[in-house]
Amino acid sequence: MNLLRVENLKVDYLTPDGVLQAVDNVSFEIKQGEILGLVGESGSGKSTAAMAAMRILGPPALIAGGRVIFKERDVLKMTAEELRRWHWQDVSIVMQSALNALNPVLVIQEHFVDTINAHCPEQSNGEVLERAAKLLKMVDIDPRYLKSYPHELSGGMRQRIVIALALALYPQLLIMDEPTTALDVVVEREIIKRVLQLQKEMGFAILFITHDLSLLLEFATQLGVLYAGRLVEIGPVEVFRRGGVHPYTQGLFQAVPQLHGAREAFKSIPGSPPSMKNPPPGCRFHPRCPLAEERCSKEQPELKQIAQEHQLACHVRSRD
Amino acid sequence: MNAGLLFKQMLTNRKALAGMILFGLFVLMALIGPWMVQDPIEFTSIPNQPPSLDNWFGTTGQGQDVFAQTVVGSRATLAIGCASGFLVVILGAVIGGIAGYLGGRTDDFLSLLINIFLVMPGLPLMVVLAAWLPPGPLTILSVLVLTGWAWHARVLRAQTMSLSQRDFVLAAKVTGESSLRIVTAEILPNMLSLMTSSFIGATIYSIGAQVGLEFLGLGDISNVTWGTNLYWASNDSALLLGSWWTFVPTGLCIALLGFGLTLINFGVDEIANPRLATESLWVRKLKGRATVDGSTPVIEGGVR
Amino acid sequence: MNRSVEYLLRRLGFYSLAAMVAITLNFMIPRMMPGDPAQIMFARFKGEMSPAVITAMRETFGLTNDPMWQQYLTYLKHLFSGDLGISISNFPKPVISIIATGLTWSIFLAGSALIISFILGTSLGALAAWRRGGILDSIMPPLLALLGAFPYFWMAMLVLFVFGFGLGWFPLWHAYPDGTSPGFNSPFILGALYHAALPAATMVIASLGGWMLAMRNTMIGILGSDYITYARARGLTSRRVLIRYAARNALLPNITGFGMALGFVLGGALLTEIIFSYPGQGYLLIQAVRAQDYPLMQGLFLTITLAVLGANWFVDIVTLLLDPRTRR
Repeated sequence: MNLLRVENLKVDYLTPDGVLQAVDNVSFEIKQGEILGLVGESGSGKSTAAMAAMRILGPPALIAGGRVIFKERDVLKMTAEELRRWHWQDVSIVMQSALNALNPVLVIQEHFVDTINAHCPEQSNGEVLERAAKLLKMVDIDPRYLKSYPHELSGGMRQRIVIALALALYPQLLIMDEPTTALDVVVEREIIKRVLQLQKEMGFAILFITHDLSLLLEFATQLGVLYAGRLVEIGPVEVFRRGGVHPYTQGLFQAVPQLHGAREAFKSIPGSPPSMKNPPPGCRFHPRCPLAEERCSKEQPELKQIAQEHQLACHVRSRD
Repeated sequence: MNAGLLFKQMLTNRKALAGMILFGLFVLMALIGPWMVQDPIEFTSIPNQPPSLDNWFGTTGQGQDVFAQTVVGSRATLAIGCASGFLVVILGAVIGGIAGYLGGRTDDFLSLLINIFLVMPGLPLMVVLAAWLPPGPLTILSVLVLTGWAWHARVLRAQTMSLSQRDFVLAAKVTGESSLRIVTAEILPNMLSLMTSSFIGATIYSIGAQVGLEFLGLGDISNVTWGTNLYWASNDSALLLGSWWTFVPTGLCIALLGFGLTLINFGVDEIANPRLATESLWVRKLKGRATVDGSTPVIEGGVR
Repeated sequence: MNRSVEYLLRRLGFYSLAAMVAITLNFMIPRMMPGDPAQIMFARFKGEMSPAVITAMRETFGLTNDPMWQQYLTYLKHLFSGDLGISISNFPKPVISIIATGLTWSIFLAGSALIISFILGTSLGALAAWRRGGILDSIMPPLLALLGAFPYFWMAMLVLFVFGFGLGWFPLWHAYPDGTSPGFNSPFILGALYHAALPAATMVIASLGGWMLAMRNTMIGILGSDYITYARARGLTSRRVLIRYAARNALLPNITGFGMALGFVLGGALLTEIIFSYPGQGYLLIQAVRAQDYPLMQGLFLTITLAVLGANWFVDIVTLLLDPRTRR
């Protein structure tokens, strides 16, 4: 059953230079207990899409169109109070920088107290503290750190605490927005391992956002690739383990596809992501695409089903 | 950003434009006004007359024309205010710039000096200084500069420090550019908007402090300035006699001038700080549709 | 040693240094000016004072024929024993006793006006930032900026003219009603509050805009930060996010700003006292200026400076209590 369904989501930013379409017609679904990975370069709109779907992105961002359905409930029509209750009880988020996510003048314990009190006001102080200690143990942090201020803890510890906080009300969906970008590889591995264990035990779904495609290949069940605010390919992880189909996806694997037998290895995709103020016409990837044809610069490719659950937005590849 | 570009942007910013028009009117009044009105110190009429056709703003307790005094007073007040604002920023930029650029021991010492002057209450110090010096515009000017520079030195020091850590300055240092050239060619142009707002802030402060000092009788009371106008109004017991017209016009002028300058500063801040511009833009565009709880607004079809 | 204590001692050291600079300025200013300081200072005394008193006054200010450093030491010695000289306008009262009574009234009036204005201004600023584009946010800042552009003392003149002389709602001068005796009795306390109401209101109106604007701008910055988004994402009530996460954090830089603006706002407060003939430091200041009472003027400069430095140290303590980051 679908937990979260995002349909044709459009997110605009109001800037002094005009309206910037950060997310353009993005659709995806997450089923219960599933892990959907969203991958893309910075500025591709992956975080914006997730945070707007959760409706925690304030102005100058706004949702200009589309639908967000969480278990039959229309998120875009929720009142402020419904939204407040939906947050954290059903869906929670781990943000990129754990240091900035915690209030620097409150101790860790108060973050737990505030969160639990907001949703379960009937719980006594003792019960809340007991629960906070249990949650910290879940992510291998000694409960004595409940009395610490955020700046007194290491980056890895803070990130674990934020994860514990995200699981405080046993949500059904956990959004992880580049949760390990600021950490070193060893800590990253440990944290992800722990989250996956917890996911198996508690059964929540994960929307995992990152620029690291190889990381997602290890544990995601579904995968979507975003480029300049648009979804270019989405499907089961197996498709991507085989290298993906869209030229941009393949570029992310740090090699260009073979053309007319000539072999050329690239460190990365040539060129840089387009300016979102005036994106190129047609397929937004065409100026950097090795396969680009005339049509690509004129006509915008739509996302099309090319196999079971596998969708692609590419004129060239969907013809082949 | 160069001066021309900054000025052009100020012309397109609503707040800055409104402020500049207001300020311009007062400059015009100070420049040509004194030639258009009667002698402000001549005893022309019966003292303490309310506004009439002969004396538009009434007469003072000495029988002088309040309108003429208000117009003529703008010249000295504005001149000293602007001159002091200018000198304060120059002094602040030199001291703050040296501290921020050189760093180390020099910075430690200059920062200490700046901080000491910052916590020192301005008015009592000004009073002591002005009381010992011979009364006159020069005394007022030097007292204002001496007590006003520290705040701007602090702000400009911080800016110089952050600028001298930027790539383009570090690159210039590596290629062996002289310090003088780095400061004049790389750092100063990037401080233009900050120095502009510092100048405006310093001018507002100078006008207020100047009027206050002269009101206390520490200026040359035979000159006609906005401050001495208020000094005489109070000296002639305007409150007791009910002659409100002797102090209301001058006060309104001071406030309107200060308000105009503040508006210019709001505008400059928006130009220098794109975040503020973005803020005021969406506040205007979204009107009531932005949510207090900070959730993402939903506006089908977006806004133009 | 405890880091908080270390921090407070370091700040205390700084304020002591600033106080020494003020004391030295006080010594230097008369000597840097054209003319003989002793001649100028005692010009008004001529014929009224015995030579013995003049000699004592010279000692106090170090205006002897000794070398400069010795003059400085003599001056310091007198200063630290609490001798600020004799007031010329209140002859033969010592400056220190005149200032002592004025100081209490000034601290009461300016202190309460400042605190009311700061609390009111920061609350309005926080609310304006919270409801972006609301009435508070769109109308109040320009209105208060306009009100703040009026000189304090001019505002005081207008207010006194309208509510004192015109409508007769408030007393015209002094700090407490005639016929009451200062002490802990209700006629005196109520009378003192009644006398302080109008001058305090003037100061609040004139300074409100500054605090409000500063708080609004810091709040806007903080509302855009991750921990606010994160607090909202956790489903905290708006009230809780506003008070515990946004306003509390935005208050910290503004408290520091409060300390720094203290000296400036105090200047305005002194001028306001003059208009209301309120027997505080400001009223003494104009009295000193009019009578060219240099000993009183310099004594006032010193005590006001010390009061501001003390208040700043108090602000440091408050910041320390509110912000764990300074306790590092």
